[in-house]
Amino acid sequence: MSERHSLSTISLAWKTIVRRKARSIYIISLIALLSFALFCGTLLIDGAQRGVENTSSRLGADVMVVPKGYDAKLEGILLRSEPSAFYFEDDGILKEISQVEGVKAASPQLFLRSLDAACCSVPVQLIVYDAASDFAISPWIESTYTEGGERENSVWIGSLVEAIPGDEILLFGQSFFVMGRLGETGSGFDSSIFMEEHTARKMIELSESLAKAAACPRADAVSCVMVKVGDGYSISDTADNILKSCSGVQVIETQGVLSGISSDMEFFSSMLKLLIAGTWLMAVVVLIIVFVFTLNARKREFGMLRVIGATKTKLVTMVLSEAAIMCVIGSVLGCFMGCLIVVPFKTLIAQAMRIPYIMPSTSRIVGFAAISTLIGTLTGPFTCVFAAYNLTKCETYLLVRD
Amino acid sequence: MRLSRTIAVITLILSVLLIIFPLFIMTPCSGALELTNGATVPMKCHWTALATSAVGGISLISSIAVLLGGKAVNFACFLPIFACGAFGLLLPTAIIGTCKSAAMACNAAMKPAVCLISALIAIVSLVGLVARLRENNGLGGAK
Repeated sequence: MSERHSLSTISLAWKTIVRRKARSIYIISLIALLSFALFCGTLLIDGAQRGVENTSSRLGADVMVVPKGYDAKLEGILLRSEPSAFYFEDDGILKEISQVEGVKAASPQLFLRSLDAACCSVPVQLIVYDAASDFAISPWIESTYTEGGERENSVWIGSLVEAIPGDEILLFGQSFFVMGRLGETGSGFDSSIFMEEHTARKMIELSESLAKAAACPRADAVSCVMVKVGDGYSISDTADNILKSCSGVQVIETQGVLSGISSDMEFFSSMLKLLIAGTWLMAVVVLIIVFVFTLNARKREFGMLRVIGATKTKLVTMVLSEAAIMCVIGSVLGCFMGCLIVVPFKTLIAQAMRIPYIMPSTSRIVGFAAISTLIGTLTGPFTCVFAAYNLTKCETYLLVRD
Repeated sequence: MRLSRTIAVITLILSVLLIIFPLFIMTPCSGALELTNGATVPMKCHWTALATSAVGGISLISSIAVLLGGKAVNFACFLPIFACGAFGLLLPTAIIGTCKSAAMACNAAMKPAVCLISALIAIVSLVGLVARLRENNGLGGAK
């Protein structure tokens, strides 16, 4: 009994792809590589851009004042989740800074390092803020407040601290109620624990007897003063005034920190764009060569198809369909591989990049995958159009004879 | 037997990865916990890494059995490999777990790597199981 074979363009194209396995695997792999680079590159650039935007919106202050020589430690805490603890020697630093010309508001923060004794021996950053004067962290905390309960003895946790609102968390031998989890920022805040000043003072006092070592030498210590500059005053002039009025301090302009991250991000983003462009160019050149050679080698096959009645348009459509099908498979495969690598290893990638990074939302990931697939899919037909056009210029007799 | 043998080679490679990744490449956190009596013990991610490598070892032996056993080996030999994949997935997520902070080495690197490799082992071994069943029934072009 004879078997019926479909001679539709797509069916013929698919059969050719299956029959010429080595060539198909080669082209699919190349497109998968292109699509992978495009998809991962876009995810990384977008995530880094959002991370920098979020960090700048979360820093809140115009100027940050720390003890002299601790500017790098502060950047480590804020940007790279590197826990540190340091304090001003002078107890009256907050009052001194508040009286400086140009300072509209000043709020103290205390940075402590703690071991989460219930879990692991990696230090956790504790950021203590004064709820009465704070203008940087409080608005954020109020907007994400989720769990009811006494604010006394409560903490708020960053998005990377693995606890849920309502849990108890152990710090310096004392138990604290997790009031809420803050949104993802891509910055060091994500791995920090936030605590109000009165809770921290009590914890510091009790830590001397309950923990192996005291949490902090003084209950009223200050690590950093966040400053808001008054209207009509320039940030740099106010920073200079603080430097002149207070001794042993270092003044960090928030904009300076952010421009540092922005320039790092610009460099990183340019490198990725260069990599994507290079991969695309390489794929295009290689595919043009592959299609020219393989279509030339198949002249006899095309001649036979012409003899049995296939039109030139049919041949061109068949060749373009072959390229498009292989490119769709390669693109989907590349995006899938990209998802498998970038999504689970997002924290590792963010740590390696050393700039704030936020994973794009699912809808954005799907959007980027769709764009990468479209570009990958169009690359195939685009690169074989020339070779396919050449095919239509040959006479059937010459095709068969070749 | 060609397809199921190819799949056994893939599970063998993945099993080797499951052994070496948590031990040498994407290792757990390095610190130790200090107990109230002064003694130190490793964090739980350390035990997850050891258990995962052991599971990888069982998967490796099962893969070798499928590869060398030829026709004598039943399709059911893919079942322990599948179980190893499932356990590899459950060890860092449910059975033992990892540290509490997502930024720590075990959560940032080891856990996703182990989960990815284990999931691949589970999926590939299921494909192998179906392939061997088809081969046994003479549907897979048995040789």
